[in-house]
Amino acid sequence: MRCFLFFCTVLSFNSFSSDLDFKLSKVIEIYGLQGFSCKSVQNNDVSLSLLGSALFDTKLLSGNRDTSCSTCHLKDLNRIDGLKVSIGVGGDGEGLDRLLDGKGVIVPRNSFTLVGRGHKDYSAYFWDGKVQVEKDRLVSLIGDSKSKGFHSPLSVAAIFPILARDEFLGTFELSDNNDMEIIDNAYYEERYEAASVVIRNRLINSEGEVWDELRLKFANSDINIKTLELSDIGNAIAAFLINKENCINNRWSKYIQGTKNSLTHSEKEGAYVFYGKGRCASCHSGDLLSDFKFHSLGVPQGDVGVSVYGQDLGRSEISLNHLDRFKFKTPSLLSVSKTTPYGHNGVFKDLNEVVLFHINPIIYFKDKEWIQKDYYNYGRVLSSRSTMLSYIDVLTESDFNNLLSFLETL
Amino acid sequence: MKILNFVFKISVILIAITYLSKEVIIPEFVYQTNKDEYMKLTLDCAFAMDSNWYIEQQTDTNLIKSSEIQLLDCHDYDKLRKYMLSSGISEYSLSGLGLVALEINQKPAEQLAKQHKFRER
Repeated sequence: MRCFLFFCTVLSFNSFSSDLDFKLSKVIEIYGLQGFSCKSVQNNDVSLSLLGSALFDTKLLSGNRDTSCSTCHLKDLNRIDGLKVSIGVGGDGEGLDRLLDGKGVIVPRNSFTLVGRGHKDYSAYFWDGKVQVEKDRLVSLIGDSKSKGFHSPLSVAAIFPILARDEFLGTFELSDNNDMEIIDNAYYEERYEAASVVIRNRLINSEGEVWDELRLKFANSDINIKTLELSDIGNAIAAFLINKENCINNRWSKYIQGTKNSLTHSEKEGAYVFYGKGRCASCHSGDLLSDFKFHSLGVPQGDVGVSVYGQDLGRSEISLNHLDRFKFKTPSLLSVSKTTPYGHNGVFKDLNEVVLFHINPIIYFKDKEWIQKDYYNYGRVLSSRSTMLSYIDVLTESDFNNLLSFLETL
Repeated sequence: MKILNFVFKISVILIAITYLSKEVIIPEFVYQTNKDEYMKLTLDCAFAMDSNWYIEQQTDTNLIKSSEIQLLDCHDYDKLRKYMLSSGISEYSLSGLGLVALEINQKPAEQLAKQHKFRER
């Protein structure tokens, strides 16, 4: 009897179990994954990091001196503001306090984290890709960036909020000067030039301790404020972001790089779903978990948007192509579990809601009240939904839950 | 002679146990411990192949890669099938399990008819 029990025990050990590590080794091989590398960064001048940090935090660059980069990219919140859409000029406080203050202008897009933005392969910035690398050429509304002295795509992206009315320039009502008007009346390259002149003059002529401190930081970085260009500011902020905010040591990268016990069984199952039948990696591809292309999930428009009637036409606002209506850049999923809410307008409150929306958008609407704009408009949005989503084969609760577990490791 | 008799009996018992183990106990044990997984993998593989047929008609390389990853379910299915065959389970038994797996999602006509019948009049 003992022999028989021993025999059965041996057999039961021998009973079949799927080798997840083998499957994931195939995932890594087929997708050519290497894991996020903190060393693979865009061109930057590390000596500008200190100045960049100061510029990132200062409100002196905004029209009404009430907004800084860190207003919407808070250090304590993984460099997001935690709001559905951000609150720009005219506001007071940070995060929820700024929303409750009620005086700020709404920036109708969700703030994104800054992790990985300085990676050398990060090639499209903002929800609509208004700064984008295309075939080794940097395309943006301010024209040629090389001749302007920008070090990297990130340094170009870093100055765009400074040129935006809701984010930095300020409101006519609150403005005590015509700086905002000078910049806002100029377009494309002229806008860049106008902003350079305004900020240069401010730096040269403004008085006070905070200005003295800022001037000293420029001097310590060997930047002559008399010849200052916006590109100097972009390069400094980018240097700070690349050297202080870019790096992430997530568990999925550790797994890819060989630490097989960095993921639990459920997380490994989730990774297999993510790269296989979940089709997630069809768009959230590579080590940055984005293809940097533009797709539509059919995200409801919500209350506010950058386009006419408070809509948000997404990528087509930049490309002017009808095929791009309601499409947005595939967001990188680095640190995704720590950056709620989700979607270009933050309408998804948690990961469960946004992932489920990819699979079945109808459930999302079940308990939601339709706002009038979406009630009459949503058919147009829905028709733009990517056909790629129709190939998702997640049919069980365990697959779905495993997928959510995996997202925690990114 | 007594020893020889004892050895003979033991040998007969061992041969009988070995025979029974090989032909009945092991196959039955492997069958019972793996049948649910086998049926699951049968469905998973069928699903993966079905999806792959349509995805291969697309040109998106990342979508095709995801389908190739999904087809690893068929690799698992093949491995388990070979393991079960080598453990003495017959092709017929495995075919039977495959059929049961495919029938799991079939609803009997009675269940469909039930909701259309009067409960009281």
